[in-house]
Amino acid sequence: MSTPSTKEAPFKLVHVFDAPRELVFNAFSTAEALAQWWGPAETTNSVLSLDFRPGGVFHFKMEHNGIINYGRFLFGTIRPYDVLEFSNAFADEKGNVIPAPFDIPLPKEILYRLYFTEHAGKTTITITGEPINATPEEKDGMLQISGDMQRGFTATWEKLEHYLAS
Amino acid sequence: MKIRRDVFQAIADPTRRHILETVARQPVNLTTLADKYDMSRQAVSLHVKILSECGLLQITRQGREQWCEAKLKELDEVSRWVDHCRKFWKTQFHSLEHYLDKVQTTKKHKK
Repeated sequence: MSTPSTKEAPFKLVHVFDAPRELVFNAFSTAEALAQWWGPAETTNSVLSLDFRPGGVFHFKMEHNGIINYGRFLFGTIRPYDVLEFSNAFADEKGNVIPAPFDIPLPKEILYRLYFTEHAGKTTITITGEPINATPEEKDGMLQISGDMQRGFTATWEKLEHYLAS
Repeated sequence: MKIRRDVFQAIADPTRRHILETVARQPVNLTTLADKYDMSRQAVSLHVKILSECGLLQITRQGREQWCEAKLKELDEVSRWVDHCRKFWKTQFHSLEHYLDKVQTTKKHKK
């Protein structure tokens, strides 16, 4: 695998945690940990199932004012304690992917990549997110993202920012 | 099967992101565009077609040439999604911070 090229994804966020990398990474790896922090702040969240391995699923429930929604991660690359990859989508009670139950336009499924680095006891997570394609052949293409193509995207976003500011 | 096209599908592919970036700079004709890529003209045409169906790109015919022009307004939807994502993950990371603090405090007490 090549060096992570992260700046080109449409969504990117960097956050520093005051904890060692192993601990931060493991917060994603057990149902016990996820139950304590994962999920939207406005909903009551619970873990339904977790299979923490490539191809495994994390199925969770979100409740708010009697309305229940479900979410699902599908894990891709898991490389302790460096890289974690998963797609996230809304799901039904059986864990099948469904479109977002909101009026605002959102991608049906988002691929997140998390990179963990540690320095002086603090851990930095760099997360990137991009929508996932509908067709399987395009999915294959997306998972082998070429650096050159990706670089072009930064310029698009600069352009977009410029456009939005004008 | 009819595949539903939306802007997220349009930008999910790196080649399409690159095409979008190219045409956002200035309108370009399809032949020039296709020459930039190490793939068949048909493949590039398909990407252009998808971008056009998603409303991010407009194709106009001038004589024998097809010109591609970006429709950046449609990217608002994408930037709204990115904002949504940022807010969501900031909240998640805040919550993760709390959890990590708690776990580390408990550990210290046990020692």
